[in-house]
Amino acid sequence: MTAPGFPLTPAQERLWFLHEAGASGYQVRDGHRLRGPLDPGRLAAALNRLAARHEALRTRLADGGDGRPVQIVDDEARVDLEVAEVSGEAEARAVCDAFVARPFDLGRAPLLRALLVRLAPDDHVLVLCLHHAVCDGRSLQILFAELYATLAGTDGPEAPAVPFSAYVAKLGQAGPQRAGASRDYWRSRLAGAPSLLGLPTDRPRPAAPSGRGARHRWTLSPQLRDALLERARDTRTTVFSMVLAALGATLGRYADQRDVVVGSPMDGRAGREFGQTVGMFANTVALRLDLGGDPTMADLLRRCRRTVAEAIMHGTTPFDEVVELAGGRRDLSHNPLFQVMLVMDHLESPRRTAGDLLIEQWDLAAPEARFDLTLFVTVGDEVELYLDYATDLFDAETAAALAGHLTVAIEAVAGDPGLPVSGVPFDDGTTRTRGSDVPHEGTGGAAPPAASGTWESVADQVVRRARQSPDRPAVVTEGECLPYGDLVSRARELAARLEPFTRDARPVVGVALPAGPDGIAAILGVLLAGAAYLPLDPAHPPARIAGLLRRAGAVAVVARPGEPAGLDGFDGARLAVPGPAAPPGRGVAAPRPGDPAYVIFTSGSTGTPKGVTVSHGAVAEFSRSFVDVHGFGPRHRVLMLPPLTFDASVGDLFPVLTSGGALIIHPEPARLDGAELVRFCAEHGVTAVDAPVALWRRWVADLAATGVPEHWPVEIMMVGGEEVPVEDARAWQRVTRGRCALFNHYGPTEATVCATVHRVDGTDDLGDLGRVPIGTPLPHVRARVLDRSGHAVPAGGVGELHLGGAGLADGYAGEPALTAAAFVPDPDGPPGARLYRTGDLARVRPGGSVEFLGRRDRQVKIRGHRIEPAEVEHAVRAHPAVTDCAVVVSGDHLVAYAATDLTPAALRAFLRERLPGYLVPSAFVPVAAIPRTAHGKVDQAALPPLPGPEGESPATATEAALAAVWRRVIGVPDVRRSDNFFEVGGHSLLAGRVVAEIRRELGADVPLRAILETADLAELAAAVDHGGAEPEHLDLASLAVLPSDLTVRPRPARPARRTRAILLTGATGFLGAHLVGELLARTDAEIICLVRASGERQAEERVLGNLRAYGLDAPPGRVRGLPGDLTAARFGLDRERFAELAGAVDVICHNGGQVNFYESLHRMLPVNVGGTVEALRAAGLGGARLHFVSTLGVFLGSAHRGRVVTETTAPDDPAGLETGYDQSKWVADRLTRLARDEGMAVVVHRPARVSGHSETGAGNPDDYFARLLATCVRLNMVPDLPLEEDLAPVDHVAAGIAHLIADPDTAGDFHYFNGATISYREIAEALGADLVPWDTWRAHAAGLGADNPMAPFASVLDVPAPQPRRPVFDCGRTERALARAGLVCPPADGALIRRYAGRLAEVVHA
Amino acid sequence: MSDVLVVVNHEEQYSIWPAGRELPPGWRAGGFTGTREECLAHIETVWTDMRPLSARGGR
Repeated sequence: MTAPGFPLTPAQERLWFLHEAGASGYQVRDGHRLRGPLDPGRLAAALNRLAARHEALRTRLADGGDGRPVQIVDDEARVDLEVAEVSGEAEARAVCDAFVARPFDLGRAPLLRALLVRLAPDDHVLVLCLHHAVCDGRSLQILFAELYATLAGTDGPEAPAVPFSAYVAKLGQAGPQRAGASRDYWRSRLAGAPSLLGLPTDRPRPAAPSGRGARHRWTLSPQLRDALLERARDTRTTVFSMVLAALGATLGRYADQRDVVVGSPMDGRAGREFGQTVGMFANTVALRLDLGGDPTMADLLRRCRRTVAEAIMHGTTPFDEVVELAGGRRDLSHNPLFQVMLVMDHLESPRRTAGDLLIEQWDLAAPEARFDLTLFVTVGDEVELYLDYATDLFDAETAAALAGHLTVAIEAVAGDPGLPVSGVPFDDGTTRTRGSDVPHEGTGGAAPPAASGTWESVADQVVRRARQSPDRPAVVTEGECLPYGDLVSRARELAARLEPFTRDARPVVGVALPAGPDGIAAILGVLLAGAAYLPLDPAHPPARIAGLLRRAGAVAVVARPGEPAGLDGFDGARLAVPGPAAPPGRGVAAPRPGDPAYVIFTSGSTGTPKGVTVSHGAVAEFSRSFVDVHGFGPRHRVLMLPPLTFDASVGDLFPVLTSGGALIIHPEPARLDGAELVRFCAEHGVTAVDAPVALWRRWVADLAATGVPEHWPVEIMMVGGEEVPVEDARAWQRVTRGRCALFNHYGPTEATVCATVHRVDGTDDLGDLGRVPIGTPLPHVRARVLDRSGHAVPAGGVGELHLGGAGLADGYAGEPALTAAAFVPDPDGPPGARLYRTGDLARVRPGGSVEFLGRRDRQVKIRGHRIEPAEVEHAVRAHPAVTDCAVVVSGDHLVAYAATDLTPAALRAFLRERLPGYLVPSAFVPVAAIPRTAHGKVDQAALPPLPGPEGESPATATEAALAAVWRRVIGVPDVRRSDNFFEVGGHSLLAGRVVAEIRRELGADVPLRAILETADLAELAAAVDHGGAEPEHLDLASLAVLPSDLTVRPRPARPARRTRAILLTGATGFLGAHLVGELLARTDAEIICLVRASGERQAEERVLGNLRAYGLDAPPGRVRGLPGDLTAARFGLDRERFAELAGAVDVICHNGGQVNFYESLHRMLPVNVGGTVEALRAAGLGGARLHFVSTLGVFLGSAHRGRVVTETTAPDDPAGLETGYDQSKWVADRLTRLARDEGMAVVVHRPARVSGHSETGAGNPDDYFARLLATCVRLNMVPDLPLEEDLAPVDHVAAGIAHLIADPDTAGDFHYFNGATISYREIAEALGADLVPWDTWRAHAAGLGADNPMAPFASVLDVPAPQPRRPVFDCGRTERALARAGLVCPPADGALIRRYAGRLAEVVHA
Repeated sequence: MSDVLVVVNHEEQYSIWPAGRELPPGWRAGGFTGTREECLAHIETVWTDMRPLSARGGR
């Protein structure tokens, strides 16, 4: 009884496609609170009148057979009004939010759900929820308006509205010429547009977005609203264009990008014809904004106005087609073309009453985040703004800051048309102000004032130390100990000999000596003489040394005789090493702060070394800062590893010698492996070590197994020169047992050794950082993060790190142009101040420390994505089997060289779980080791040549058949194994056709996602060969890696007998409710329930509400609600609260998770694995016993099929696990067991099917078995399946787990499979129903249509014959342990089935 | 395209600055405008004593 189908509009087709691809959240919904008398019957009737009037509400989508859907309008579609009674607002909120979260089945009309929540007889909440495929924002307004008109008795229109199908027909008639012109417009308009807006995010972009979103809302001040509207009037611009300009300016500044694309929906209802029609009329347009040339706000506004006008003119081109025309590559990690959406609503004054009903807005939970950011602007009496943000990427604090900056930009658009975009004051102090100076550790921002008193050079300070304690050791080598007194007298001896050169000038004097007593005395002597030293490596070729001496304008060089041999080309003097005798009082000139102290050559990016000249003032400031930051003093003995020719040596020489410490020199730094480091430091009482990162990482690896000895003297480890991976910092904490602070130093030679420092103490929690930050500026340093035009980036934005302050070098010796280009005026510093442009990309993290993001010149752009190879390298190195990695760019491909035994496929699979698609390299080359230069940099020239072009022809029959399908569907002449569907021209709509063709040609059913998610033809063929299941390459074991920062407290010998507090997750679930009940009964502990809620009270209310729903109760004061989120780091708690929680609980019962049999693995990972990791973290931190509620589903893989599984069987082989749920639980299960192997007290509970209460029959009506039973009752038929169903009543499982939790000696694994199973014959007998063949039963079940309780599990009905696939569970150990407490599982028998059926009937008929 | 300005500070250190933008405090125009490359080439010829002004001269 249906009309014939008609095609979907392109926009609808896109939504259908997204639905098929697994995206949820494409719903249009709103809620109102209705105060006053309300008759649900009348409301239901009114809803059904809407369905009768509007064709779209009777429309469903069906497969047209060729992979393309059609829409079918049913004659009638009944709108079910769901009614719920609640006891309070919190519960109402929970019910409403759960209601809108439910997905739609697009094959069933109406695609409209209505919920009425009764808070009191005259107080209701009404929620309408429609699928976007049949409704848009305007349509929902129409529906509410008509509904309320009917309720008010003012009766809306009676006749059917103009049908949506008329609009579809009209679209089909649009002239091809105009369509062609529009296509041309979009093609040229979007050519070369960036694929991804590089907004700085709080967390890295996940491989697949979770869709979780949150909302920040704010209102413009009345003054700003008025100014905005007035300016719109004056300039004849729309408010939309003005907000667009403000948004574009803000995003451009955040991303440091001049090319910004924003999306926006356009209403396709052109004209009055469809003014009252419900349907999906919206089409998305891409608005590309050009911020180039730093336009004024007025110019930008003009550009926006033109962009919008053109977009409207060409707004009928379907968005999907626009994406194809733009030619960017699809990537599942983000929306194509734009990631920020702007939605504008001009509010018709909303209805406030309907008859006796008062209507108020009811806020629903933030919808699923479809974009990174969606800005909703509602212009009415007020201008209200909502910023919906993806919580995968942004924290609430960041969203709030962005909102503040948007307001600033709107102010600029409305009030300051002449202001250039770069001048919008984003660092105005209204929000987090980190736009200008990066604050110093513990200060408000400005550098502390310099200490008063007369100025003293570092050389003079060393002389003073020598006077105070002449016998203290200053420089110690294996053979010699040079005390301060001797150091200074030797230095003076040299200074005296230099006197002829320094009488009238401040010349440069070379020091060609290795680090040691001679070299250090020579440096001090040169400084005391008032000259600047130029360190030279005596092992270098004489020609090079002579060249450097010449370029620095040196007048003399201090060297050992014959070392270097011959310095032809240098005509200065050659002086012998300092001797012991010092003629008193001669040759000593007090340097002034502006005098040069040294010239050190660095290899520039051009390859020509540049001599950096650093003044005495800079060295003294730096030295004092360094002493303060590290707490250097006379007791310190510092192992100095950098050669004198690196400025890192300056960081040891002066801070140590001016503070009275000793410099310890190793004779052969190259020989220092982990064991030698341990030995040498112990022998020499070394308290601090200064090493390059690369060497330190080698020590970390060397010492990982052994650690350092008990009383090792080193308390400070200083590293620098490269990024410090967090894993290594964590490993260092472990290796040194938390007793050695790690200092990460960052600083170019141009800013004198070190500009910023990050200190990691031995017990610091490093959190979810990828790399150790470079920290905060030293006291004498100014650090600023600036965009390309030299303006401060907004707080948290990415930009180039600029350094200033007293530590800046003078410049490059003899290179005025290079100096002028690198050292630029600082407009915000003291008058005349300069800033050094580091060329390093950085951002300021929310805590105030600077994060290094790579070299500006290493950043590359590939297919519109800005890519930082270091980020990819970092992700590759995160695999435990990779020791090193280098990522290079080849053409428009990324190639990863990895030192590993892994196959390229395994690496690719690992990365695809972690990185967005555009960051996954297209080729992987395993190598034995990454060649590196002496400085630890990758030696690109020494990397093996790239593999040949990846152009293999299809190799298997499946690949060949698939290639043929692609050629046909996409229309390309040639397809190779390594071709990506999208890269060869495939697009979303073609993907549906490919699925249909594969079904026809190969008889295989592959999900649409397989087409989208597989990297290439070969991978898709593998997916087809494996029946479309998750591709086999899914390496679950590689996901089960314990975080390296997990600390494990050893189990106490005698666990505390009394359990004071228990943390329970998943308390709002079915088993969770009963666990709360049983834990209350079996312990006297406080039960802290971690649930998602806005506050503690709401959290508690959710838990108690759930208890009541299952007829349970809690005594007052025993249950505490704790708002938190399983998917967030530390459950979303701050560090202190998390630590407090971890310390307060004796037991963690981790029962929370996401149960869903259709979601894919990667969507379940954040909850099911992420949550478990956090539970482990808490248990490790506080030493609580962890009870993990896993599932026997982890044994459903092929390894255990048909075998006996007992509690001692380890589920080590996940091959063949079919659902994302079982896979994710397997990973979590394995993680907990790995932690147990490390010594953590972990008990794993694995229930099988948890069924309703054995006495009341109350169960979870939505689970698979309950729905199957309900279907049996409805049909009075039971399928004759060759299966025995196991049913473990929830009261028994919960009592068992709680009993085992209460006993602190419980250890091992426990299984809850009810061996007393029931056959389908017995089920039929118990119900008095007919036992019929499966095919008969499923045909009848399908015939129930909309009423079929099995609908959510409809795919089961497609299975020809369900087969048992589980192992034989022998749960004797659990049964015996529970029997001792009198707990015996009731059999799954006819009586139990009847109780369940009876209870279900009540629910169904309620 | 003359979009860059040569600028000098109190220490007679040279640098470049976008033309048309307000001069940063403590810097004055160095009497030369041109492209970035032209300005840098100009600086190469005029900045002959690279020592900060305060550190010039004998002891």
